[in-house]
Amino acid sequence: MDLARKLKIRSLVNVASEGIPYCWPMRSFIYRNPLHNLEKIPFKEAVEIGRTTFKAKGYLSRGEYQKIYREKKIKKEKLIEAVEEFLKRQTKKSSLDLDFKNLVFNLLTQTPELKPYENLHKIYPCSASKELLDSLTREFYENPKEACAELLLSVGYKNTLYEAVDELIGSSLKDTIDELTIKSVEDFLDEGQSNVEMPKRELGFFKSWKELASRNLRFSIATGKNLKKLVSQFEEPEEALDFVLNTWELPESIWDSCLTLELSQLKGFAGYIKWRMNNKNFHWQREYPVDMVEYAAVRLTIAKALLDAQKHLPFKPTYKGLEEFLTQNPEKAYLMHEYFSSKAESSFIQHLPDCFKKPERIIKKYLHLKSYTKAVNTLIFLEQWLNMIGISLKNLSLEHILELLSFYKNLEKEEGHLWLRALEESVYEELLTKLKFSSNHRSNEKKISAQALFCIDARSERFRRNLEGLGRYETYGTAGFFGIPMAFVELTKGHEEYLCPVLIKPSNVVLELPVSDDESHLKAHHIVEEVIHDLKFNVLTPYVMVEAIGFLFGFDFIGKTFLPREYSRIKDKILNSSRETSLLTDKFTDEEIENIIGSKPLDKLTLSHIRDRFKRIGFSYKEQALLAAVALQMIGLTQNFANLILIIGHESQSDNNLYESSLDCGACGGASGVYNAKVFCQMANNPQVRSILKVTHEINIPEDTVFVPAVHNTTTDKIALYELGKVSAKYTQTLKNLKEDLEIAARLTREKRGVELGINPDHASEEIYQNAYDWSQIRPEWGLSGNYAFVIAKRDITLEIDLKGKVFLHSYDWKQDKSGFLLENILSGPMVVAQWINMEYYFSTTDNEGYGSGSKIYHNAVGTFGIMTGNFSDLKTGLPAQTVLKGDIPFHNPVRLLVVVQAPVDFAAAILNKLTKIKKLAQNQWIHLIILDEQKQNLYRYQNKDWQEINPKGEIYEKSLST
Amino acid sequence: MRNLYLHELKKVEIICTGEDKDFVLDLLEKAGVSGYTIIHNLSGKGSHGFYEGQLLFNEEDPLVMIISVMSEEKVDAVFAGMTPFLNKHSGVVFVSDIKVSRLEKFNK
Repeated sequence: MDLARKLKIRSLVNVASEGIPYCWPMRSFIYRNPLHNLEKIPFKEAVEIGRTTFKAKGYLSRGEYQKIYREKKIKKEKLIEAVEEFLKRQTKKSSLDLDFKNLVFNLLTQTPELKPYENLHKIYPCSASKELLDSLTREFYENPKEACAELLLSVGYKNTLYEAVDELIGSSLKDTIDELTIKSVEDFLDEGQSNVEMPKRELGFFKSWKELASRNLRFSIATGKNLKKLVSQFEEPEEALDFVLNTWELPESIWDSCLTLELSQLKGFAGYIKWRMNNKNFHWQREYPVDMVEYAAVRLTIAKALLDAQKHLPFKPTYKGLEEFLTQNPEKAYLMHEYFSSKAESSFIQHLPDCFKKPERIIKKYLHLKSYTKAVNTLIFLEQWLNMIGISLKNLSLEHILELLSFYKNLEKEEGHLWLRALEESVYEELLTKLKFSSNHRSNEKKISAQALFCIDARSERFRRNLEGLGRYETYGTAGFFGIPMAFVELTKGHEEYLCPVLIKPSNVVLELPVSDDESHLKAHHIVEEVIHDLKFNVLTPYVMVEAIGFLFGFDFIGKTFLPREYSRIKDKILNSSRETSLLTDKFTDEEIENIIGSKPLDKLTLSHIRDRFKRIGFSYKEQALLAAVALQMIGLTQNFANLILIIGHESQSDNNLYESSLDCGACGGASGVYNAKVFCQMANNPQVRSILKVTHEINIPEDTVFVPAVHNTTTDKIALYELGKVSAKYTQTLKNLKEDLEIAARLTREKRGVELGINPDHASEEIYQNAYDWSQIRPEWGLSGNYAFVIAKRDITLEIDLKGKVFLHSYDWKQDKSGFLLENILSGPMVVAQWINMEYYFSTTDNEGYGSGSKIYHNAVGTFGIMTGNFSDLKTGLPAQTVLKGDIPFHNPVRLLVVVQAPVDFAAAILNKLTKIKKLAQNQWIHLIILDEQKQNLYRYQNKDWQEINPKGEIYEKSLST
Repeated sequence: MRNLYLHELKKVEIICTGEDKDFVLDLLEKAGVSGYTIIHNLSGKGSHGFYEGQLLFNEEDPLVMIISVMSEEKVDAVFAGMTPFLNKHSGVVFVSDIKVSRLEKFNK
């Protein structure tokens, strides 16, 4: 195949797959906007594309919004405002003298819902005049030719070629193609769970599948000899794609949209393959490579073979064949489509198939009856609607009716967004009216026992409030990786995990090593010594020899090179005997690296590879100081350090929960935050690092200040403290008090949380602990459900508001950020992570089956990497029903993230202006931005590409709210 | 000592966001381009306004430049590959004539 053609096909697939969201392995659930790649266009438009591409809803239904409205979470005045906004956007001046505001408001809030249902005429009589009914019937007449043209145009817009065929002839090609594709990818992607491995996987997906497809019985049953014949023609996946798209005679202009639809059919598997393709170092990807081009080629080859095998098709199985059939037999095609796509008028359904051969016998009658029924239903609906504001249908002419219908059509399109705006403004107002301007007189006045850094995670907020309430503590919020972007090799896992936001690929590795001086390790010691003879004396002096094994685990490449046979035996031995561990955060010197690897009989390339890996280990002191400095500056903690500073990561705890990692720390790549906390403390407690902090970064941490790592278990709200051995004995009493206070704060937090979990506060602690260990518990905690805002400010402005664990809090003091560097990085890092979390919750709520993963009850793990519903489905993406819904009512209020920045408006606006991507996010309304300017004592909102003074209540902002 | 001769080749410079870097690198690999240089964290001004260079915790948004050297035929192939991408994305491709002394480094 010509190289240029090949590359063009690859690029086409790449562009077509952009809308497919990543599906991470279930071990590391990462939040991401399922429409992330559509963020460059306005939210509203992206939701519409999501509807056609993924067949998923981006807004709740009217009924669901009504439930929220009845719970008073949507305020009446906000709904009215949203209706007014909608009416303002109607460009066409109405000739109707109607109270549209009331008309719309009543329609939206009326229960049971009023819509032009298809069977209204079976329930209600129609009082419209015969004339009106006849006129409207004529208006609604469908034209078979137009309907056929519409079906053809749907190919590449919302249908694949075979879906259009399914709609036309009632086949189920799509289901069979899905089934065969799932079978193919599931076998290939298996990560050691299956007993019988797919052969030749090392050849890559397309090539190994080709082998399998030409022999497999399942494929032969579905496609006859077609598939075998077809696959034998291709060497490369690009050839297969080119062949199928060409022989289907699809216009080249719709190739990319056809490919997008193709890849969206099983967006879970496609998303997982996309993730693997972009994580080339992932073990299974290195062993058995797969990419989107191969996946698309496999799927399309199956589709082509199956379509060709349909002997009963009334046309050639190509786009042109379909086009010809639709153009030459519009009436027949129309009737078939009506019947097979369930659009047919009910009283005619049973007669339709008999008329496919001679459509002229029935077509006129059918068209009349269909439009007549539609006219009756519509008029009944309009009558009921108008009655709400006391207007009779009889007063309206046909023109009026048509105008009203066109108005209704617009409303139907905008309704979801209208409700969303009302919900958002209601929710935001709760926060905005309570924010206080900073006062500068607080912390210095009282004696602080300890300071505590928590993750921005909304769940920290409750704990922070309860701890602060005890009076002796100051808390800060920061992204829970504490500014340490690291790859981490946990001793027992033996592979690198990225413990940082997925926006970055860390270049430094931290290793967990066992600490032990147990004599029983001597044997292992000898084996290792043979290959790394003087490691003990040169490199890891504080550790005994076997610790090197922990190190080797992280690099199976090295492990296998040095210890091809003993590798797994030693690993087991060491793991069984190690108890305490330590983290290797410092860098090796070049000399140390040479001492380790210098004498090995390895070729140049391997040596240089190993050398590079060693160089990635740890951080230099300068790097450590810089990271610690930025982390502290970001939250405004650069002086007045307490004696004890807790660095609190977070993790969750549940049994038998495939979604456990979705409850862990998003800023740590869906893992526990404990290691980042430990590493941060190790760095910040290091005297050499502190001295650089003082000299270079002007941050003088008192000698007797100690950083203590800890982890907040968000399921039980227990805080575990680590490395207390490093805390000076003079803090024994402080530490004792601290532990007691943490217990009290945990109990208070559990009681508050218990209410939402339906637990009696009196025994909240008991039940919450039970849930964490109960393997049948489907909702150990609500996670980040309810999140709606991200506040970048000093704690003062939110200190007195109970935010109910729904707001991300990032500490920030603009006075310590002369250049705006810190704000820039908060907005482009942590804020983006929060926005992804927010959007994942949003879409998992608006369509839990389409964007979320449905009910956990039916979930099963597949191939150890993903989750299926039942024993055969696409991979599930997004959040389960139990995280966002309570029964059939959304527990999570699906609103977009409100970002509040506390800073002078000109300063913050200038920073945002520099951050093109973030500005675009706001312009396209994926987030709402507000600046709280304490100097001007006002709030500013980013609207229509400008900053506008706002007041949360719709009146002049009450300065009395401020201090 | 061997004499050095200059051979005519093309230099291709592609600017894209960090998020799209892997796509471009894959394209170059598949085109058989033997090497490339990546410059991270570009800053500057273009049709979309000012682009800030370095962000601490975000490698997806900042722009990168990928510089490679190749024969004219490969330029055509790379360009064909970039076409669907550039139809949808912002990004820039510069192609210029250059001369290199050690041809074997670029013709693997």
